[in-house]
Amino acid sequence: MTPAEIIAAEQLTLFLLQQGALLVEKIQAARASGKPISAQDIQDVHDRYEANKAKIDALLSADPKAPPPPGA
Amino acid sequence: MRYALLALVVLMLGACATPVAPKTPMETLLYVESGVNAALTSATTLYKSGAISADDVRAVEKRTDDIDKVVMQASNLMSHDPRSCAWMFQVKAAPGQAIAAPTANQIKDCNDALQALMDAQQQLITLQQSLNAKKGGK
Repeated sequence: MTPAEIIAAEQLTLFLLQQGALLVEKIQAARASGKPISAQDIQDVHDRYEANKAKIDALLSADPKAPPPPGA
Repeated sequence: MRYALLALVVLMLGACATPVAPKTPMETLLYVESGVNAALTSATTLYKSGAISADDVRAVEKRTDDIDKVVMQASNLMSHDPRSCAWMFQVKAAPGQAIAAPTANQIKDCNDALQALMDAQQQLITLQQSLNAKKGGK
């Protein structure tokens, strides 16, 4: 692995752990409060996904070798 | 030093984050949608490091889009008709709360949602395996 790949693997591990911890925290808080997970909670994650997608699309559009986005 | 710090952070996070299995349809959907988001972010990180190509990222994006679509459809259905889906997923009613038998259409809708969700989970597992293979292969 190159140094860049090692750093990426570390970042990835940390990110996934953070996401997992946030998810567990969210579900535990919902259970403790008696207020179940709602469609809005899922919509919030979906909004973050769309924001991530916009970022990666911008990143790839700067890459001349990158293929066009799906459906384009 | 870097790895010692990383190991420490992993241990701390591991200790704080006791895994909880999803118990309701909405919790399951939250898990799947979070996984979709994590898969795309993972692909982005790997792309930035040079471990995977732009083609790989687009392939991941296509699949996460498909999964995201069914999750949002199922979420919409369940939020509008939680009673029939609660019955379908055998979620227990609160004490004293009766759950009426759903209509044939409600059962069909929930069957479709359940099938879509199972398909989405399977796609996500395949996607994660594919990403792991990419990581291991480079």
